[in-house]
Amino acid sequence: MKLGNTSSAGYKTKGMEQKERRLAFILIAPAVLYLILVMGLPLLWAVYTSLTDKVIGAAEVNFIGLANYIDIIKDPVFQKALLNTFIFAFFAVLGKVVFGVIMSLTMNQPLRGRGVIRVAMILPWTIPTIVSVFAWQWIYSDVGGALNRILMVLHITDHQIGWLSTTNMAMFSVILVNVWRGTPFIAISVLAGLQNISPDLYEAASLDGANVIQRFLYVTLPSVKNVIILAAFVTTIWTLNDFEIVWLMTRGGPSHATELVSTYSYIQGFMNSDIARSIAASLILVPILVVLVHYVTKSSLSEE
Amino acid sequence: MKKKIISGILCAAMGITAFAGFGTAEVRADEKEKIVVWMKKDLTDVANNMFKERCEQFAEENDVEVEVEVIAYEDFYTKWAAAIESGNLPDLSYFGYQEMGQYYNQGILEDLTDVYNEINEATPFEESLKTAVTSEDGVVYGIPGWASVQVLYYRTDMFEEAGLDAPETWEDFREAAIALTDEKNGIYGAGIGYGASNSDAEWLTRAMLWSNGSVDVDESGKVAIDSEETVNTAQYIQDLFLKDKVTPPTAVNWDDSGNNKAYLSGQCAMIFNVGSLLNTIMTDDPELYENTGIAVMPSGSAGSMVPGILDGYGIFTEANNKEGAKELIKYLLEKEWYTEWVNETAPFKIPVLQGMKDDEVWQDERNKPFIDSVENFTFLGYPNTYTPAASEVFNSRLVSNCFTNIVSGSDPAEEITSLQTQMQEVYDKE
Repeated sequence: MKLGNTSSAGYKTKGMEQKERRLAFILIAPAVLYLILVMGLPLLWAVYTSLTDKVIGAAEVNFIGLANYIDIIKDPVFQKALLNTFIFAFFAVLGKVVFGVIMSLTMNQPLRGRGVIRVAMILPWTIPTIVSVFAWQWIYSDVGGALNRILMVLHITDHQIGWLSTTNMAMFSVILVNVWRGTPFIAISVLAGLQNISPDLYEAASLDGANVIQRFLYVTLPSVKNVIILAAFVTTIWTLNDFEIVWLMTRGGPSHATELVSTYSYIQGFMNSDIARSIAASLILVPILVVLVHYVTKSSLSEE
Repeated sequence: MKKKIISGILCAAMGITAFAGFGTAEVRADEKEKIVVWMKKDLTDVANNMFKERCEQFAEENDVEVEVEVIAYEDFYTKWAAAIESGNLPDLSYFGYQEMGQYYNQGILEDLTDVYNEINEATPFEESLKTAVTSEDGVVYGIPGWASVQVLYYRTDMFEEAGLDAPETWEDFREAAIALTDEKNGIYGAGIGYGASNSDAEWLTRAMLWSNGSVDVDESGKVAIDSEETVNTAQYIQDLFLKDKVTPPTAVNWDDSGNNKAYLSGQCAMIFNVGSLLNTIMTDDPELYENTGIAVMPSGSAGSMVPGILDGYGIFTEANNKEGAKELIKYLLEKEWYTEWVNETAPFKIPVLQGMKDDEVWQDERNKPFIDSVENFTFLGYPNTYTPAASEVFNSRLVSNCFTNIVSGSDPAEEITSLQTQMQEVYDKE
């Protein structure tokens, strides 16, 4: 005997499913509308503006098609900025993943004072960027800077190294700051994964004669592989968009050695008042970011 | 049914909160008229506090509300851009004259000729400054607030020890820099720096170029920066960095505070800076103050050219309370308070009103070079009259970026040719 709209087995009927779907749409409608207004429309405006000759304050705006994109792609400074962005992102993410995994393994050990160690390791990620930048500017400084002083006392070098002022060191220096700040995020993500690994697996591996490295390679790494990959993708998205560290430390210099797409876009928009060109520069990275975001959302929302 | 009611209430709540920001507040009859002011942050708190107090006094006397926001110069560009595009403009804003010209050319600054004339009638402005805030058709779009100038700061103790006098020419400067540099001990003679977006470098480089016979434009208004004089000066500057090595290695990527830090830390024996640094030294390091000498900019083959840095006030055409802002400008330039404000912060703010140069404070040996430099004030677009295109060249930091490449090793002649092209593109837009 059927009771209401459910079958005797308790499954929902098609009518009930439709009602629930309708309710779901009604509930999310304000949020979707909000997202369209706050994100969707501005994005469309940005794309349109990038196809015009708009400058800040100018009343007259003319549609010029892809001229901004063509000009930007031909600009040697932008070409350098684009290459620098990929170099910066690649090495920064690589560094964060490697050190992040090491950090997570450390934080997972049953050490005395583990809580304090964890807090200390996560601190770089939590403090404001400007504070980090000031600290690192002092570290890198050629006037009383800690790093040069330490290296000279240890006789590793006999002269002041221009960490931010030489073209071949500046990129390394800003990458290092980015890695220092971003490593804790990877560490926390991987740590969560590590804590889900059953100790029985390690015990079984030990009984089979596996050493520390083999246990890491054949037990730990496969178990946290997906977490590492996901965290790496997320941090890649953030790193490709990074602006603060480079702008505050080097402003893209010296001689565009640390110029990124973000700093190039900023200069076009706010120093040269060419907002259309600025937006066009930023939008060039969007296809890559869309691919990355698609992977991240697919991974995090996929059903097992 | 219960579920539907709850869902409906939740939807309504979300919808109301999402659209809450679109509501506009009704203006109550008893609410005061408001004037929003954006002012450049001075290095010294005295100047900032005096300015805020003056605005509060105006507010009290006129029964209005004055909201003052003190902003670091470097942050103004982003704030102006956001304000212009969003329409959320201050009523009264600080501007450097180089920004005033560009914004007036875009048609977004108010005509302030009547305000200028009214103030000028009561307490005349220095005549030489009017050209920097006046359009080709005679419209005054900015009110001079104060001037400043880069002068030479030098360590008198180091000079005395080396038996040197304060340099009067650029060759003297180079010789002194070489004599005072002790790389092993981290002391450098010349605290000259470049870097992306370095505005100090823009002014200093122009001083060096113009005083050595270089010009921005020729008589017909065509860009003429690519000349033998410019290339020679560029070579001189490159030699300071790469051949003589009298500048700190990091100076190729300084921001505007780089030379300040270099002098305050004792790393550099000579730098060029405006008067605010002297105020800071006087307060924070009395010993350094005693060992600091001030001299006018060295001269070159064409004499001594000092880029005039003129700061002042402007009003956006779309500002809410333009009339209130105009009254506030007049109040800020009332001679009695203005004299006190400028003299309190001497030598940073050089007076724009006539009759103040002979005040006692400007006769001090360290302050006098600042006020004496005003005689040689030269504005952007030299030797022609100042134009908005010259502003745009400055605001785009074309010169600073070009010379950053030169001091990093690029060929001076090639870089100057490239600068010529970039500058001409800007002038062609005008």
